[in-house]
Amino acid sequence: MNIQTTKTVSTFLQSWNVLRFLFIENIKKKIGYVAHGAVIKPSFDALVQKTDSLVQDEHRRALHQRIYAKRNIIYQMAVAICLLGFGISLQGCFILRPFAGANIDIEQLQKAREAKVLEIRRDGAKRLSQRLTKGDSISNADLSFYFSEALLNKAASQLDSTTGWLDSLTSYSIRNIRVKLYHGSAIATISLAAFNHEYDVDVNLLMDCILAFKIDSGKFFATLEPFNVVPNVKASGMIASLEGIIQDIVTMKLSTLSDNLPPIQFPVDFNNQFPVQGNSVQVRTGMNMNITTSAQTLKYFLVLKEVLIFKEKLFLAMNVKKVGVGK
Amino acid sequence: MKATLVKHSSFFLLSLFVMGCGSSMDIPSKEESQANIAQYKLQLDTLDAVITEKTAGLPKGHDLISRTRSLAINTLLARVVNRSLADIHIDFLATRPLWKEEKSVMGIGYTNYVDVDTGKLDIDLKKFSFSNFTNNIINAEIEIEGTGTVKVSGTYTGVSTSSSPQIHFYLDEQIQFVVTTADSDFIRLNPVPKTVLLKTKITINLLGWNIPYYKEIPLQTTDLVKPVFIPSALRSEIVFPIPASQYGDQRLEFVKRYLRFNKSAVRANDNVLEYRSNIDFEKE
Repeated sequence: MNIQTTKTVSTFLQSWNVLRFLFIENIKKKIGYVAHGAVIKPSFDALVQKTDSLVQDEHRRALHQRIYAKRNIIYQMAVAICLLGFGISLQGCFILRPFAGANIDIEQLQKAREAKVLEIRRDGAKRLSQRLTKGDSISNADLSFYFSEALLNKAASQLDSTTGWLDSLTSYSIRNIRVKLYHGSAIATISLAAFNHEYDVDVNLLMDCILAFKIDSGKFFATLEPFNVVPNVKASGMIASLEGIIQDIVTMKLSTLSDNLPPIQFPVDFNNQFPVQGNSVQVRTGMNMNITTSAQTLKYFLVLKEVLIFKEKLFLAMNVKKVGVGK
Repeated sequence: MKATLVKHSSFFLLSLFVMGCGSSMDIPSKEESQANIAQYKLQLDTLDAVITEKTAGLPKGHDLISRTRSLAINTLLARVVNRSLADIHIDFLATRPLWKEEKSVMGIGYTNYVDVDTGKLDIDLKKFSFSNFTNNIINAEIEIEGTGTVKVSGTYTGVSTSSSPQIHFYLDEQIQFVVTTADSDFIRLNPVPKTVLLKTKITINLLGWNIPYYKEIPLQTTDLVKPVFIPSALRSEIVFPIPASQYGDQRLEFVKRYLRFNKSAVRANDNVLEYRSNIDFEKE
């Protein structure tokens, strides 16, 4: 039995390590994912750069093909684990623990998450302080907007209770998004659940995201860039040994989530037009005449000067760039 | 026995390796994180204090506050002003008489008169700009000027004749607007009622008879100038992208929401037009 067991275990371990290093570890390296616990990014820029490369469709398709190709191996491994579990545990070798991810120190994770949030806030506050010290007055703009944190949350809450799909078998549901504005940084916390319909696995996530503000096609919006991801697997009807593997599969798909998350739209338009009313005056004093002015449409284009984030408010400064008149 | 031990050892080491793979966390230890937290908090407190002091005067209290400089509004208005030389069009209607005089020669009375028959004229809006915003009153300057011809006819010493003299219009006035609160995406400026004078000058020559006609035609600003709507660059409706509820090619779908403005307030002071409002998003 020992020889057979050892062979099976060796085969399994080789397959597993190949599997891990082929795609799971590879993916983790790409997105900064850390096994079974949290994504603690070394830097936001690195995240953006890496995520950008990861989210390419071609890469993702290839990744999915590889995942499904390995699915049979995973099932075989699951059987092997079940058969071996009893014997192995008798020998004092608890092989299931790492797969199930049961040895996560929640407090360690929370502390790491808190530290990362504070680091981002510190960096943002430092940049803002330098801007306020060295730059020109923030009021030196044609048009400036102050959006309250409450308004951002009203906009973000449009995504609450919405459901989307990571692929044909994995859906996700945004429970809620809450935005906090600090001096120099905007951080959104998303409570989200991903559900793998094939394995009947729920992954509850708490994601901390940096809000990156952008303009595209004259519209102003904020994209959500995750920097902390805390998954929590709940599998129903599955043996514990599979949880970790499935969690890895699901979280791999979640690695492209930032690409799927809709941006938060703001009600600001940079391509504007407004009507200049026509008018007609009848003069019957001295000389009879009708004075008329024709209606016109004034078109103007605003250019973003800067976006600054203050505690509980977002500041946008814009200048008028182009003005045109049409009928 | 030795072989079994080797096998077991190998298995144990391999198991440890796998356990190591699965449980390896790149996250720092609790102690490291705690130290970082303490350090970051200290730095944040210092930075926050500096920023809070520098931004103490920033407006707050509404979902949205916009501030528009008079300079920016004038940039927009200048484009309207400079668009053409024919901003205002005048159609002359029959005016009978425009001018007349009763004369008598040797006890025989007669009337010299001039009628305006018809005519058209384009006038240039030469200037329309806001000079200053003070205490919710916006002072503006308006200047219009134009020269054209008008067809006149009349009778001089009993002889009827007609002519097409030049007519000149000119207006240069200061007018005022008051800002009104509007729960919408525009700020409305209403002209303050005031009589302005459109200066009219025609030199009519009929059969050697020169009739200098000069008249200041009173016009009401509320008739002459319509309310001005200052755009806030806000939109009254917004299309939010949300995740597509069905799996398919499109990852996003879109829902329209209307902006409902409430508790709006407008203030014009120090050459800045400030608009405040709370905003709610309403479904279609």
